Amino acid sequence: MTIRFTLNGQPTSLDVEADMPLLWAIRDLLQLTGTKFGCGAGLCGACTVHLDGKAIRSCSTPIAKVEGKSVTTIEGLTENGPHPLQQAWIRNNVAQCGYCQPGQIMSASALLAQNPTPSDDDITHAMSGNLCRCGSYNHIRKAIHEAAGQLPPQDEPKPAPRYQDNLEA
Amino acid sequence: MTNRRDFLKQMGIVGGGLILDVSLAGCATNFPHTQQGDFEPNAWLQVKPNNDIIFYLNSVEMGQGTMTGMTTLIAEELNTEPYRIEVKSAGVHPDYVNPEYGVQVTGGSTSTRIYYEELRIAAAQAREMLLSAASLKLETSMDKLKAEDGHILYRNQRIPFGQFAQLASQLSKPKVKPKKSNFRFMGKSSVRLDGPMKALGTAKYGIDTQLPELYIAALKRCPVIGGTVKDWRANGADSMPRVKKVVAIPTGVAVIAESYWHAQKALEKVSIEWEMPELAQRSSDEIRQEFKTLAKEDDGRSAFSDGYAERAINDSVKVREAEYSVPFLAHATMEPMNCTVRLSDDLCEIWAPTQIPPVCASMAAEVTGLSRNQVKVYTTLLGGGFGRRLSVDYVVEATHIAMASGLPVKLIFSREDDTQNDYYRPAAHAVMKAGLDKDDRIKGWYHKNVNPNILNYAAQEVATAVLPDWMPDSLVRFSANLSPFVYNNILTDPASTEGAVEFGYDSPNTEIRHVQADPGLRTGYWRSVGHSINAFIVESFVDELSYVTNKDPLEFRLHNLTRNPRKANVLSLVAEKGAWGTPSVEGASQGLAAHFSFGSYVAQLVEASVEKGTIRVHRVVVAVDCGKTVNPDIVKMQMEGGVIFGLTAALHGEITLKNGAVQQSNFHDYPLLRMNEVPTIEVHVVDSTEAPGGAGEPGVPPIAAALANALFAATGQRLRQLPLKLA
Repeated sequence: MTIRFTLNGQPTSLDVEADMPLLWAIRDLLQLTGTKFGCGAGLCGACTVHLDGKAIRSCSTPIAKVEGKSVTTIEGLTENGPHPLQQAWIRNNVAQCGYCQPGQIMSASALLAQNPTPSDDDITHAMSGNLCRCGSYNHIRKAIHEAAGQLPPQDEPKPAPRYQDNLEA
Repeated sequence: MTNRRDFLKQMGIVGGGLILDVSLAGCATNFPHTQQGDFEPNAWLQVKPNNDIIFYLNSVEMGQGTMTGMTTLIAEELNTEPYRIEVKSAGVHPDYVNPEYGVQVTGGSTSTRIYYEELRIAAAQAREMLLSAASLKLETSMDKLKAEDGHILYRNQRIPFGQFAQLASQLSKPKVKPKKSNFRFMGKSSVRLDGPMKALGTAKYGIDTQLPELYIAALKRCPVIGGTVKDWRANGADSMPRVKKVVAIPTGVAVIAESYWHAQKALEKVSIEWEMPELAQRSSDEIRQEFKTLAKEDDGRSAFSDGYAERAINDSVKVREAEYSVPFLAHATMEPMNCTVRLSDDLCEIWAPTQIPPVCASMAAEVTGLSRNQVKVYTTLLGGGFGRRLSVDYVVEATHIAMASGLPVKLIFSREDDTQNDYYRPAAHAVMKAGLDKDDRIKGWYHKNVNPNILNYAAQEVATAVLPDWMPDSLVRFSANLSPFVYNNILTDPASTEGAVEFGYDSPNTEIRHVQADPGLRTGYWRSVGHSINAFIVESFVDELSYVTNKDPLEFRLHNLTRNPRKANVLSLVAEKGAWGTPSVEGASQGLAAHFSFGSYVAQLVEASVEKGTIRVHRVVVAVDCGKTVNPDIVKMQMEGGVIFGLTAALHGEITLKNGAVQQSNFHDYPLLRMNEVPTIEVHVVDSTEAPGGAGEPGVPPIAAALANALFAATGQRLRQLPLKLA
């Protein structure tokens, strides 16, 4: 069947089975790889995206459910430069391996959109569905508080470095 | 073997300019696979005429911060801000061999330790050659010039390095020494170089590899590792939507499709009859029983012996004996195993998140029949490594699938595949005995571990890369296959007793033994390896000993650490910072532990309590002496990460077998610590002038013991088995 939805502000249509998980449609058919696969069962949060502004696990969301709705991935989180959370993430050296971080940031940004000044408990409640094997949890908490304006920012971030994955020969 | 220039060309590293060579002195003779006259100096750095400064990073970035750390070393001597330096992943080449292991590998918390001097010398030489070229071109003396932020400063001019690259490349390499003090970047915290791409979602991991006409593969494997396909039926899987092909390989049947979900869905239709391995006879309860029996009946082999431990213990005033056990563990990296392979008649290209690129190449060569230099490995960012990606099973399987299908494929493990097809941290059972003299000093110490070695599995793969390329394939395979025999019957794997041998307390009579007991479940290197087992055992048992004296656990440790000042120092520091004796959380109890591993000393103090039968960890204080630091903030992150990794194991981690099959499958039955369970963690880094130690692993070992010791203080229950469960 043909599914029509908005992806990062762009009208998108896909001719796929209704039960195809949104995650794999985004990653394999639409080639947007910022959203990660971790467990396939809604247990780890690596695949978190926004559906009409709410954080959902795209690995366990059938694509039929997004018909007519708006999906936002890490690639489309903001239109103009990094989100305050992304800036706080960079300043606070949150990421280690970084694989879970797009999902963490999507969960955190949905939280801040709904609750601009979350308490520690609010953060724990909103973020406990997102696993981080490297153990960056306390840095995540600090970066969320900082982005919410509850902590003064540290140093200005440096310009982004250049890194090539050497993925092509 | 290609020479360095050809290698750089093949890797697409072309264009003129200065390519800086660094020789790791004395390494050539250590590489059995390097052919005579083949040794070329290393290629780390390149300055292009357009002023691109490129650093070829041969360690892989898996979260441990090596990209930032190594680049900082280069930046210091180039006197150029780290973010101006472009980091590219290096290919596979003998120049990049890790001298500690004789193979190009990222592991053992070695990167900073090994390259601390070498990389700075490399960059210092580059700087001096650029300055020297500039003095020739500008017709002035070198002392009128300065290198700064990618430019040569001369009077009021800032001239890009690149303008002198061509001339510099023709000069001979000067002898230089790296700076000893007045560092501009080293020893200071900074923004991680990999931070922005990881926050923005643009970082590419192995699983994100995209190529033209690339298909995705899902593989159904035997429920018992080691099982092979006897017979199979597609049952219509090949005509499912978006499915391209269904193929059998030795370890299973793969569906290749346009998306991973389509591949997985079609795979459900495939039926397979398996050739079961011997492991199918084994289950956890009876393995545990076997280990216990062996602990009583088998004396094993000596790993370390000094004096007469058993006699000294029998003659002691106070004696304590106890048995400890730990389970098998999975790595559970957030990025599941995956590998992309594109094959042609004379070239095999591999994109893999791997800690050991040359073994990917040698094993793929074995699968395809190509020579090793016809295999190109492109390493990607790793979504966690922790030792799992030192094994290359996923590369072998992906290569088989590409061969059988004739298609470029990306093989992805499901979380279930990943949990059930790991190389597991060995389970172990230990017998501990110790005796104290009348002054409460350790007089005799006996530690015997019953557990499977790791090297019998690892060496089967690694041998293919370290044996000479001219050796016939059959001989390489034969030699590789010898390793299980060697490590079952002849040699003791140091990984089994590391942290037990160098347990660190004063003891005039010490005996460390190992009983090889391998149920057949493949084992691997798990963040901190043997230390993860032995620190729990040693530091829990030392705590037990303290309670048979009048000394408290801190006092007893210090009393028996007269010859180990750095370990005593981190213990004293953690006790001071953590206010030993006065818990900050009401109702909580404290425990501590300290351990030396990978060149670093780490002490941890835990505050924990039991609420309605549930263990609650409130606070962890860490003191680390890892020698000189390149980036203290990254050291702190690694300590925090190590604590959480170790707490996950202490509270939840357990892999069990039933009829050879791993019973855990996903994060519901192999849970990781979540934010709601994470304690506050404070890290104190000792300002040290000692040689740099590791940071990635040493944070893990002490935590399980520190927690168990806190729980003993809280409840009087001595928990001698992981994961920790209160009675």
